[in-house]
Amino acid sequence: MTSPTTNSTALITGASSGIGAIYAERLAHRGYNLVLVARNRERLDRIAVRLADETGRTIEIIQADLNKAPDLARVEKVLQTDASINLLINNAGLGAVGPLLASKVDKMVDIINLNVVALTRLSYAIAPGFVARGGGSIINIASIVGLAPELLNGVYGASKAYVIALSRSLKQELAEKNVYVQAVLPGATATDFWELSGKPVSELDSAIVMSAEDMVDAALVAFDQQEFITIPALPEIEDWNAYEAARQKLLPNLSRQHPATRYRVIA
Amino acid sequence: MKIQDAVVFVTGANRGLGLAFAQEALKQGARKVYAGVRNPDGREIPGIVQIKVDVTNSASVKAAAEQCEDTTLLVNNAGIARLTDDVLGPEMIEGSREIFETNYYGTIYVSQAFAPVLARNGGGAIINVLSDATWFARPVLAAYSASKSAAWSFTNALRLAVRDQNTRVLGLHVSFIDTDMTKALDIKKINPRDVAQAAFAGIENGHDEVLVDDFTNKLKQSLSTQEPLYFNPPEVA
Repeated sequence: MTSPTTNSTALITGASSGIGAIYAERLAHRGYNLVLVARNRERLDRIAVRLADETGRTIEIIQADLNKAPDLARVEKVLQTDASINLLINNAGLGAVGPLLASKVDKMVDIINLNVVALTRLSYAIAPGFVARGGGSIINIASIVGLAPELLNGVYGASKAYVIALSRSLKQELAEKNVYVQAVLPGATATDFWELSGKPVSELDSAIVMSAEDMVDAALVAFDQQEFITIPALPEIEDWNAYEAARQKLLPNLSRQHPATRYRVIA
Repeated sequence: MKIQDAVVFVTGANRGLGLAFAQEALKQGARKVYAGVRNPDGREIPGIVQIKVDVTNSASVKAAAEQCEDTTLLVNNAGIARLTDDVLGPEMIEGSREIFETNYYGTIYVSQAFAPVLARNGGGAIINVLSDATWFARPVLAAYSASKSAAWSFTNALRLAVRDQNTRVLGLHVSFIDTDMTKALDIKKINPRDVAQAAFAGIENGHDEVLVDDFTNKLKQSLSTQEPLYFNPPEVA
């Protein structure tokens, strides 16, 4: 387990409940100071007071709705100016379970704004500082629907596919600068997510639902090993490796001068 | 006085030693903790009330004192440091002016604005965060050391000026503390919480001065000797 110095600080979005709150607890106990970001001040207060008592760490809160530009800008500013932050956890996310055409487009845009735009802006806010300071870590909470958008609402899945793609690119571009990027792909996790998305978790088959504690603990084991893509539920890493190998095999052939023979135009 | 049930106002409380003062006050049962911050950025700690204040601006300081009229313990902590690369160059003047605005004049503004507040609340106390650099200087720390010597001198005058209103004044001298200010220095540093605890213990025991660490003690003891440490201060202390 990496043991951070007293000057390690993690900023966690969506930290007032679910996966974000568990990350907050685990990291405070690992010795991190925390900046917790969420909309619900009461819950933030409660978590911050409890964790400060338990761990003696400095637990700061920022009440912010990352779908509001001024709030997002405030958090960006903190990431740009606080040199003690060496871990960003982009956890705040919005989901949906309904089919595309049954979903209101405004609600879909909200999902994109939070899962894609806010995550992008926060990553941009911290990355230059990480490079300048010689390192840092970003944990992006994606989802298995980023690989399988057929499962739930398609905009939600697409937003998480974006998170995976951006993480992959960031990882490659920043690896030499000692910036570590992890994309975590939870499956169904027992959190408020389901209730807020319109499908109570109790309606799911319990065999596919992981507790938020187990999810985060597994993801932190992977974090310590500096794994890039972490799918806590996937039993066999070989299955992922095969998927990744197939993707790699495509890469050299995705862009060529001539169309493939199967598309040859018959005169 | 006791920290328990005190109403504490700390300047420069967004990070470093100021933050440690605010948190320690909360932990020791202060009734209220005001964190004076130059540029509030939305970050808060539950239980700590953020107050926007620029200690170099008299109007801003007065407004803060009006807002925090129940204060019983003032911690003049806000301070800046700049290294002086050339004591013989113009930067010595420029750097000194900049540092003095916060470390010296700022301490005066805040003390002047809060002294009547403390008087109305029964006297209370003031902690002035000084430094071991009060009593020695090296060229790179020339402007900073001068500002702390000046603030020390003001502290001694302030102690007498508010004695009749029953306000205690404690000068806190300490070597390098582990904060952003000293981040670039690869030396042994003191935990800011230990410093805040030592200062509060000094307040509770009615002391006028607290020397936190061994070096600062040694330094002060040497002042009246034939070879005071400021003749040949160690490279980093």
